[in-house]
Amino acid sequence: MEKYQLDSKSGSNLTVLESTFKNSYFRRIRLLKRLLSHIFLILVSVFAVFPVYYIVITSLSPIPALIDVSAKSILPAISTLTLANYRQIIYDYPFGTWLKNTLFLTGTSTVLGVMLALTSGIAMSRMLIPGKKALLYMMLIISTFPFVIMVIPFYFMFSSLHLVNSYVGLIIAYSAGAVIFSSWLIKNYADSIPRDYEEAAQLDGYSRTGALFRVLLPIAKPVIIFALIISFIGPYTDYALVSVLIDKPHLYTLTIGMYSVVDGTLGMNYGTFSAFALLMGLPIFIIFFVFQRYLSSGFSLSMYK
Amino acid sequence: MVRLRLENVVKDYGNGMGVEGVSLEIEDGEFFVILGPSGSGKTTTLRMIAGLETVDSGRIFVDNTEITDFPPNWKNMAMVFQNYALYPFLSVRQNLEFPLKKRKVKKEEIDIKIEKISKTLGITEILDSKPGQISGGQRQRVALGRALIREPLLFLMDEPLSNLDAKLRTSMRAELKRLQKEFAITTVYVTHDQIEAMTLADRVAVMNKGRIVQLGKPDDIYNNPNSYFVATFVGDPQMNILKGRLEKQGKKFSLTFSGCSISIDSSDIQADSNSLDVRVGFRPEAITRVDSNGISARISVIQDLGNRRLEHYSVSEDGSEVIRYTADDNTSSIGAPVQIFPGEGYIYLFREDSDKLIGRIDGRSLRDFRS
Ligand SMILES: Nc1ncnc2c1ncn2[C@@H]1O[C@H](COP(=O)(O)OP(=O)(O)O)[C@@H](O)[C@H]1O
Ligand SMILES: [Mg+2]
Repeated sequence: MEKYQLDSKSGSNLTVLESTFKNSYFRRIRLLKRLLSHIFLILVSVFAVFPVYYIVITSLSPIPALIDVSAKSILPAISTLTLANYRQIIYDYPFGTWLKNTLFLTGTSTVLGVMLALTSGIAMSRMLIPGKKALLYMMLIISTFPFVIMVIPFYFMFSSLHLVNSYVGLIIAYSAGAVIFSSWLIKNYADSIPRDYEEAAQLDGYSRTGALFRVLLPIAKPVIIFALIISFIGPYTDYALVSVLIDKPHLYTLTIGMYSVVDGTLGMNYGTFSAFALLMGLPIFIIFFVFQRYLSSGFSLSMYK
Repeated sequence: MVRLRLENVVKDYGNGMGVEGVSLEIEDGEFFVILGPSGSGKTTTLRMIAGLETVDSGRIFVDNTEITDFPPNWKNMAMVFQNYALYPFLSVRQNLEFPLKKRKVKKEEIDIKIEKISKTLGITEILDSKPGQISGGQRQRVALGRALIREPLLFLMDEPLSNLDAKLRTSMRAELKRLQKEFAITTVYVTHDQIEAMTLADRVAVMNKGRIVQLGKPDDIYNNPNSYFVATFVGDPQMNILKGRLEKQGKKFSLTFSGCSISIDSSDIQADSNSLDVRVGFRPEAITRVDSNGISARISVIQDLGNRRLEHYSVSEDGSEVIRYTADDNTSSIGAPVQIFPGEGYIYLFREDSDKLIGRIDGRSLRDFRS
């Protein structure tokens, strides 16, 4: 009895009937929490969206907007906006060629890399491979090295193989990068798919390999698309390796092209720079937009399974 | 004619588990059930038959052709998996077509077969749905359809009903039995559910710890279990087991258990000593109420099942529990002292120190001899 009274005085008694608080108190707390979290989220998204907005504005502004940064340059008058920067990039430079080169280079290495990753990822998920664990750890460790530190060794390798100013070397390097990351991804995803599907296909008349490809591939479609997209971005935005290996203008990619455009005699041209960045980002934006369904499922499956 | 023969088939996982020397002969058109608790090696046995698991030693024959090392796609066996394994990216129709397409069956023929099988299974309405959009029972039917449509040599099923709810399971059981007889396909069916085994099987093999411990017709397994394991594994509610003692008295044995004593002909008992501890088993439906000389007990719980009852008794002598399954209407209240005796069925005697059955006495013949 004594103890009970002590408890209820100190406020640690949790029974509903003894509560000194009214129901409305808890309701207000809940509203307050929701309000605070929304304010926080809005702040964060401003930080995320503002740079994009600023680049769009800069790309539409006449040069040189950066010289006098003021509140006005953040909210410029509609009448001052112009497409001149875009026109310049598209008509005065071989933007189309660069885009074509980049898409070819990136597309080829991505597809090649992910195809190899499919075979290795499925093998590592489904087959008994001696030293499999060691291999997996090695790949994980390798993938933590930044790509840039491999530029110099790649250069020596490719120059001795006469692969300078050729896409072959780049494709090899890029697809190797894609293989490592995508194999992991595909291995983890395949681990989460029950073997019953392949076994059913085997009983339905397919060989082991046939069953893997007829059944596992369609089921793994989301993760394959995810791997393709992720593998695409690296080579698409690579500057370090391509700038070392390529110096013939007709082989330029967008990143080197951008540099050559921006690095004009007039000094850094931020308007053109911004317009170029947006044009270059457009394909990635479209890809993300079209495949967003797969992106989210790829993320969730590789992270929660 | 499709007869399946397993000769001393072994799977050694290197951890003391797996399958240790299973031999079986399954007749043409037979519905053969492998029954056993979880981990007893049923799935492994089935997978070795299917070719999904390599056979470490022993041989498997279909009729007189050895198929031990055939890969699954060369065996023409169909398997229904526990989770059905319907291809999630294909519609029901495409799932059914899948095995036929590989066999290069003509389009018109495929359509005829699909129409026929989907009518038989009642899945015509859902042919264009994806497996993710249909119910568990429908998935089960599609899985059966996919297996049946190509008229396999052998039908393999691994706990196909275990993902269904109780009511659906009962109706699918009946349907499975009907389909199997209709298509007359030799079937090996694996389950841990003894009711499925009893209701579906032409013959049952009971497995335990990687071995077949008994093989026979369902009622044979039920009435003539050869071991303590089979006796207690088969039957629901489980067989009642009480401690007892067997003493040789002249030409007869006297069995004492729970304050009750009966005398048994020596010829009914295989015992190597004149007195030994035994476990006395009898089934819930074998128990009757008696006026005297039975087991003294009190009713502790009554479960009413509608037209039948499960009465739980607490034996007065040592408090052990006995369950009676009955339809009679002689109800007595909870706590009332009564006398019961397994007078409507068999009394099984097992050694205390081993799994072995040493005698089976018909309780019906004892009613008047009890002393
Ligand atoms: N791939 C495997 N590796 C190692 N042990 C296994 C493997 N598959 C099954 N086992 C073991 O073999 C025994 C039999 O398994 P299983 O055939 O699946 O039993 P059941 O189907 O009767 O439940 C179990 O003890 C299980 O742990
Ligand atoms: Mg199993």
